[in-house]
Amino acid sequence: MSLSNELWAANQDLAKACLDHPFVQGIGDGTLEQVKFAYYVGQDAFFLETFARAYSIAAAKAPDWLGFTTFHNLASEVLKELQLHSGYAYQWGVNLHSVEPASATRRYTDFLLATAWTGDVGLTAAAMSPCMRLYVFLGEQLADNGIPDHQYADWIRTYSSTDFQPLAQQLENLVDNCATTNSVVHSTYRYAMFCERDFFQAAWILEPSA
Amino acid sequence: MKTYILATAAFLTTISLTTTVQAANSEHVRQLLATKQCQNCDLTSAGLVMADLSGANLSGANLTGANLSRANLSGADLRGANLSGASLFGVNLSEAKFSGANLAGADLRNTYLTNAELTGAYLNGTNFQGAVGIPSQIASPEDFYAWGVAEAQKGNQQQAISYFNQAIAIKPEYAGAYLARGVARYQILDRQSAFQDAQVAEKLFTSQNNNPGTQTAQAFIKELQTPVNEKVSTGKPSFIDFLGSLGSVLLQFLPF
Repeated sequence: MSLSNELWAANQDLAKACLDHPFVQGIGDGTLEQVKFAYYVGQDAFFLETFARAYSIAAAKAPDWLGFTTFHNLASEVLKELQLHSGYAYQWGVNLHSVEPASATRRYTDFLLATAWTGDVGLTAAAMSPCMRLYVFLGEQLADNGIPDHQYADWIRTYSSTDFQPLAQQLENLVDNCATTNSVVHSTYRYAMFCERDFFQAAWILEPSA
Repeated sequence: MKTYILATAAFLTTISLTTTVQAANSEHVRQLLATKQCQNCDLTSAGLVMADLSGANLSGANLTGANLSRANLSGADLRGANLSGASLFGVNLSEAKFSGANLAGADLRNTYLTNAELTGAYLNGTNFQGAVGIPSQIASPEDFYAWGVAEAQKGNQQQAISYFNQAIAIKPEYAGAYLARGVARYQILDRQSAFQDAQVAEKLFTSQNNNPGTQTAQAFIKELQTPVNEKVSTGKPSFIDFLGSLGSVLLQFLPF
């Protein structure tokens, strides 16, 4: 089993906890309160800016050209995703320029940046991978019976689309090629999974800014 | 056989030594970022660039070689921490506590040190260039003077003047600092203040029996007394030439 699959398999409990989370289920059946989704859009935009930075740090640290271009392209894709968010933000009345990060957001972004500045590209890829793999999983699961017709259909469509899945795969290839199986990689990946779960929880309870 | 064991032991020691040079304990890094509580943590070579660590408790932490560039450490407790060789470029260290900390060889250029407590810190080879609010008890007047000259050479006259002010504040009889401040003021076209500094410098140099100093100050006074429109026709090397080699001229006043 590849390292990326091994890491994903070892964290099925947290993947399931995210899928079963009332926030995610609320997106799935369209019943999530709009104020919670708007909160999430703002926090996610803040998060994605850090995610792009972490990719760029890893790109700069990549020992070979293939690694550099892959991380660089992944950063570009995040910028596209952010554009999608600015569309959402307008729709949901969120001002992305005045978003203050909540504690859960800040903890996640600080962790990613510290990992990117401290670790090698394999460890950074392992820290970033849960976000991508989890969203592929959530998109697939929520679109299992076809994409529903409700206010959050765009979100489900984005993450279940065949455009998104290859990006997660590229990042997992970097995990497989650059990271080694050890306790630091395992604990880093799992910590990111906890951050993902807490991110949904923060949006669910509308956690105040840090 | 004994030799073989010794060689093996030496080899194993080498291996364990190289593994101890590894980066920070990643659990400690997460603990720090999540809670800002990290007493005695192992953060060796941690990458904490731009991290928000304001008010963090890092007392006794090992931050040897850590990269904290542009982080926010305002009000952080770094008492007894080991920051030797760490990069703190551009860090906000206002009101941070450093007593008993080891800052040997640390890079504190362009830091903000307003109300930072550096008394009792080990500061051998710490680089404070460009730092704002350096407490006067941790730097000598000569340090301030040298930083001022370096800033003036880069064209940062205001910053240079601020350093010369600090040198003079600690050592009011520092003739070279008056002269240097006068030149920096002259360069930003403040001729009146430059003239006052030149006069004080000349008086101090004379009372200290420093002939080269007196002569330089007098040359500067003469330059300042010469109306701007007469300069072209003097035919003599003007003080502008002196300014051209400003650094080397001013640096000769460093030792006193």
